[in-house]
Amino acid sequence: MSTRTERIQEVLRGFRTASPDIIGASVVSIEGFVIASVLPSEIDEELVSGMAAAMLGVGERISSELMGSIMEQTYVRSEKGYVVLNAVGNDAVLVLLTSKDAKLGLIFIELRRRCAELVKII
Amino acid sequence: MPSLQIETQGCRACTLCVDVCPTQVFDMDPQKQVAQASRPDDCVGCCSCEYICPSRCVAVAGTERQLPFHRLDEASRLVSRFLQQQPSHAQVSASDVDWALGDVRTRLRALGESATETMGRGLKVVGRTAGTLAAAHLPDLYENSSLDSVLNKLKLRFAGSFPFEFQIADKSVAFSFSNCAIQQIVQEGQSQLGSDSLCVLFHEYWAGLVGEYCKNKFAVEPNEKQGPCSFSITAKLVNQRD
Repeated sequence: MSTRTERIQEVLRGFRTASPDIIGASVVSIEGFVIASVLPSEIDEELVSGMAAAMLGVGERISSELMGSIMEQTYVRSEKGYVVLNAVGNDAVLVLLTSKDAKLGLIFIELRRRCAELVKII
Repeated sequence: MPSLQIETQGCRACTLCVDVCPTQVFDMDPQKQVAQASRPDDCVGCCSCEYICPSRCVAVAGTERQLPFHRLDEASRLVSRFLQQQPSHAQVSASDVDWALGDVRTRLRALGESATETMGRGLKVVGRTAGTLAAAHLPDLYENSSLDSVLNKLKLRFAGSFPFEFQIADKSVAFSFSNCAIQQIVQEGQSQLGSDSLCVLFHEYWAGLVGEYCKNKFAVEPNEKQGPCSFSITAKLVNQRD
């Protein structure tokens, strides 16, 4: 019987096998603690988790103030790729790093499917 | 030889660099009301001015920083004793202090409100990150080997502003603060102690600060039964990297 963290880790590994454009993935609590991650070693996961939780907070504020609705997703595009943040239930957020060539449509489908899995585990 | 650079446009004439410099390199320019390095050749490169400047307008170059000497309380006390003189803030009256404290309280309240307004649920991370970064300002605490000694030193260090009692359990520490510097600000603002944004920021700040010295991650849990100024920090398991 695998632990909860192992099951989350398994879902995150699935991202990487699903698309070569997905560089890394991490599940972070709303307080900014890393729950599980499959990030490249050069990335500081503590830093990513803190920034992700802060960005989720800002995203939620923007969404509620400007759109009057709940935030579903936030993403940042840079020259090298995308950072996608997706809420996982009420207490966690999924951070996905992709290359610049990633097909976002496919990524979003994968994201939705795996987020549903994560919600059940968390 | 150390060299000094002052960005005069950002100087707010607080005179802290004038007060802190152990070799009296700085003076205030009476016309422009900014700090000036009148005796730059006397600079010993201790970097106290660079560290203390709230506007980050002073830069010291040409000095090798091996130890954060300027950040050690003990070192600061030794320097004051060596100088045997009263700093300029000795002339500040009690009403000046009250006025300044009132100003600080107003700014802190506004800061807390704006952080909540902007960050939403991300507020906690801001507080904890601030605590983690603040640890470097008290470097002597890194030398303590146990959680108990870190907390005892913090207790001594913050006795005047954030007096607290603590109790260490298995993986957590329970804190109980009394008459802390934030309490009055929150009460003046007629806000709820414990749940006000400044309280939340401070609780997380504390978890970040203690966590940094103990090389652990702590999550904050309120101890509602013991009052709004009591909370626990619980060690989180460090995630295994894939």
